[in-house]
Amino acid sequence: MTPQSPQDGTIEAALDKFTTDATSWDGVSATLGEAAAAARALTLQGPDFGLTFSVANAYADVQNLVATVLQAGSDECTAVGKALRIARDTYEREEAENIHRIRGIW
Amino acid sequence: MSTQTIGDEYVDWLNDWPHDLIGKIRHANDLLDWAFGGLPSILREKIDRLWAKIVEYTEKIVQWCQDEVCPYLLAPFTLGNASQDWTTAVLDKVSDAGARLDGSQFRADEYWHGPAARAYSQVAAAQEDAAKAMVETVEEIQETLHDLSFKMKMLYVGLAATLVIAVGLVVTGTSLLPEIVTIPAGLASILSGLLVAVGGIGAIVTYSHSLADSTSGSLNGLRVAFHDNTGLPNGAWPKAVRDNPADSIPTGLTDASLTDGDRSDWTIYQDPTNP
Repeated sequence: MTPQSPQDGTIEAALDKFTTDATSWDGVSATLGEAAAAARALTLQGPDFGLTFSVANAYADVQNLVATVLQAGSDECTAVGKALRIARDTYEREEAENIHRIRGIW
Repeated sequence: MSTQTIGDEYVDWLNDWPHDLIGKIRHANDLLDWAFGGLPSILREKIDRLWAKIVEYTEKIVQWCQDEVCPYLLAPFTLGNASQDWTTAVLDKVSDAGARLDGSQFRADEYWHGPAARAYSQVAAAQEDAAKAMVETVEEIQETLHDLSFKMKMLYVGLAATLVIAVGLVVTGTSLLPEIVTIPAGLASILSGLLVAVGGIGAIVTYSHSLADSTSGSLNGLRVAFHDNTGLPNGAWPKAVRDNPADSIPTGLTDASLTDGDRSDWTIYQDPTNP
């Protein structure tokens, strides 16, 4: 049996899904990046803690950890969006080169 | 800019307190000098010793207030503002990111199948779990700072209340100095007031140490909990699904090619209405 090509418009809709999702991932990445930068900026020195100034080191450790992990989250979301765009570009190029039709695999 | 609110008058009061105490002790000194000449010498020696103690305590108390209390009176407000900033600048954003990572928005199986499509549905779920874990952590940081801010305010209010009693005893003692027969009682009252101040200062130092220890313990505990959180494997943001662990791009998701030596990890449905 000869494999059938997808219905009209299906390829475009499927590729659009990649694009819209990639945009969403970029948005989440930006939000996490803003949160990371804000956390990084919330620095408190010993005098800010008054008589409990010894808390400053423990706070700095947690603050740094949170900022670092949030930035990692931002980077990871960017990577997912980038991956979806690469997948879309690859599929589109091979579709234009008729590779799917030639091999009967979409 | 001052961030004081009603009920936070202790800041101005404690700032002024050392000068106020010095003024009251000077006034007592003036009254004592005036009466001193009429006293028998044996009484003058005793009064001299008492007065030397009063001066010694006063200097220590004033020095401690100027070094350890006055520079940090706004610390509770700084911590309160920082707590608020963790909410508005960090927590709200991480919560927003978590809501937008809702897995139902990131399902490709309407159009796609294959290994990448299956992996993709798991990616958002892992990222959403991580965001939720970060929300918990940020909430706890915010609450810890808020709690510390509140307890430090109470600490200063408690100190102010103690020093009010101390000043009252100094004032009462000073009122007795103009009469020669009540000078010893007056000096004893002034000394009592200063000892109340010393006791209050000692209590605040002890309590602030225990407060610092418990707060540091809470913050350090957050780091431990961080590593134990299932949403943050090994205490880190989870990596998206990928073929090559050394690659920063989740390569399993990038593979939509039929010409790279293997099958495409993304395969399109022939009929998306009947996958």
